[in-house]
Amino acid sequence: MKQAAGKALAWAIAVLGFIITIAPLVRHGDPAIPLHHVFHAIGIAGGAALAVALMRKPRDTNEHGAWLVPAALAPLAMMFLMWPSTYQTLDQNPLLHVADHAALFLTGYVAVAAGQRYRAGTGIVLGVITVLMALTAAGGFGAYMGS
Amino acid sequence: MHSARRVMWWYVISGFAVFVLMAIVGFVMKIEQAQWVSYGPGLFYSLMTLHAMGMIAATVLCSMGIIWYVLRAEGPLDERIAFWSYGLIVAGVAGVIVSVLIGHFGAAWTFLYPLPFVGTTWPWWATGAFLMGTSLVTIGWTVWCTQIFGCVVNRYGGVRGALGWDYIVHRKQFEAAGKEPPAPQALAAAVVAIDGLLTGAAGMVIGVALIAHWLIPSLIIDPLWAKNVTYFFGHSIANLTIYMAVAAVYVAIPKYARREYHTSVPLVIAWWGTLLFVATAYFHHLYMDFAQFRALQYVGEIASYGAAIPTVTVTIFGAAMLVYRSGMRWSMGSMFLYAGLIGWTVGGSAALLDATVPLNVDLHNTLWVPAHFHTYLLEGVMLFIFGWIFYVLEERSGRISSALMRWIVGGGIFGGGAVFLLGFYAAGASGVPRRYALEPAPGPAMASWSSLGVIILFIGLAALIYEAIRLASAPKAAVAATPAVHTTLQPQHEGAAS
Repeated sequence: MKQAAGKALAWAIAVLGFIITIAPLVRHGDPAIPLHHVFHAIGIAGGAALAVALMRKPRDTNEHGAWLVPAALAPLAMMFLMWPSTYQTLDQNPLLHVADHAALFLTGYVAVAAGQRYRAGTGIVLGVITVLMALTAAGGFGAYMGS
Repeated sequence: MHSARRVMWWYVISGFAVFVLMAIVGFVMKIEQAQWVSYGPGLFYSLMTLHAMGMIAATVLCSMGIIWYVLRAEGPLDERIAFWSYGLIVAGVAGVIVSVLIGHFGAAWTFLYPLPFVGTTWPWWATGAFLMGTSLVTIGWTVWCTQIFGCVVNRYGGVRGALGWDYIVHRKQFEAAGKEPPAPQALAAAVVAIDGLLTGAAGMVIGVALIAHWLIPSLIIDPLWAKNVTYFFGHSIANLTIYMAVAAVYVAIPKYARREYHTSVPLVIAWWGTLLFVATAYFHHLYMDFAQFRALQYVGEIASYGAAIPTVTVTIFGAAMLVYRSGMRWSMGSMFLYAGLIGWTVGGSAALLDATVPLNVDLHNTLWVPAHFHTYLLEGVMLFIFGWIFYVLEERSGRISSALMRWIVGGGIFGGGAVFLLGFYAAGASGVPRRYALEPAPGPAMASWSSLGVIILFIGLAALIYEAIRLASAPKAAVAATPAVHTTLQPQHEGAAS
């Protein structure tokens, strides 16, 4: 029962994240940068939640070190996908903007999926860390480009 | 466990070497403040930056090696990941060294925005080298925390098991299921891994933000946000070194005291407190920032005081009670481990005073601040690390140091350390500001006393190194060890994970 409820919640967040990902196609105009970063965090959480929803019971509890590389790089990639000097270009090109959002969604997915493949139990915490980083970035990273 | 020792010694010896080099850098800073020499503030601030970053890297490396080794006895750990983490950290430290020694970067370890970018006396590339070096250290740290987290959650059945939740909250079912609570050192590792991952995340966020500003100067970052994230990262990682090194206390003191240090309800709850307080105490660095949200100042005060409770009432008091009337075997290892508890108490007391807002008004940014953290890093964390080194060497060789050697080493490290630190405390209490190359009176006089203390400390350190090499060179003890040392760590899983 608990597991089913957990999966349902994960799917709900994944769908919400997907909606955020494709939002530039249907909604024009740009929210304030801090709010935009919060939306990014929701998109990333959607990717992470999708990985949780698709999660299977691990084959073993051993370490599979190679998977730690994408798991560790995903949060870093997430930060660079929000590079401030790309904002203007992305705002003017909805398809590119959606592609950027999709890449963010993917970083959330990879953080969890690769983390779980590395070692059972680490995926979810890496997903949480990735989302927290995105939320923290909303506080002041690239708050505005000075004139 | 042979591979585990190899990992441990790589980390510990590298960290120890960095510690010695940074101690020399620190001495060079102190004699400038004492006005025994005069090389100018430009070099002073570069050395200050290097000293702080290097010392934290040293204590972090040593403590990481100790925890990795003791956890390897709990479950398999892939040493390749440990070496990747080590490599990233060493590469990062190299970047910092280049930025400071060649580029003369001097914005202090805090790299407090916008300081590293405004009115600098160092070239543009030095700032980038420093930031990228620090970022590499952060990534290496995060990789290590991920591995440690994975180990404890798999060993003890999830996060709840690793933190002893069911042991406390569902005790009857827990015991009926025949489960075991995490060992004290595993509990410490779990808390360090979780807070360490949060710390690493903060480090990556501020690192990328500052690198972005370095490349795009027109990008403006909220300075209050930057200070919060910077100090969450910096304070927490420095604080975590103590909680990592305490694993040495949990493992080794019971061996010397011939009493078990078992997991108990107070111990588990204490570590829950530490998990929370390490993450929230950093607000005490922003007491003087009028723009900071007021509620967070209260959080910082409460968390700073709260952090002392589990430490004193459980770990320190518990270890002292373990030793009391135990017939403790005093050797170099046990001497350092026990003395480290004292250093932690003294440094922590000074920290509590500084964390009290009405006192912080007077002590903020005086030498009282480095006084307290030098106390529990030098006479706390480093003593735990020295104690662990000698514990392992004594166990391996079946020998201990002579009483005379213990007096020489102890006299140097404790006596010289005390004189060194008293100079800081006296200057701080007199209002001498920190981070000044040229201090107002009575700063230079106090710095002279501190410099004398360092010289005495270096004598003790030289004797320590000599004794460690002597024990390491001794033949390995036969299986039936002498009564001087006791049981080795009993690994639960033999064989390396790789």
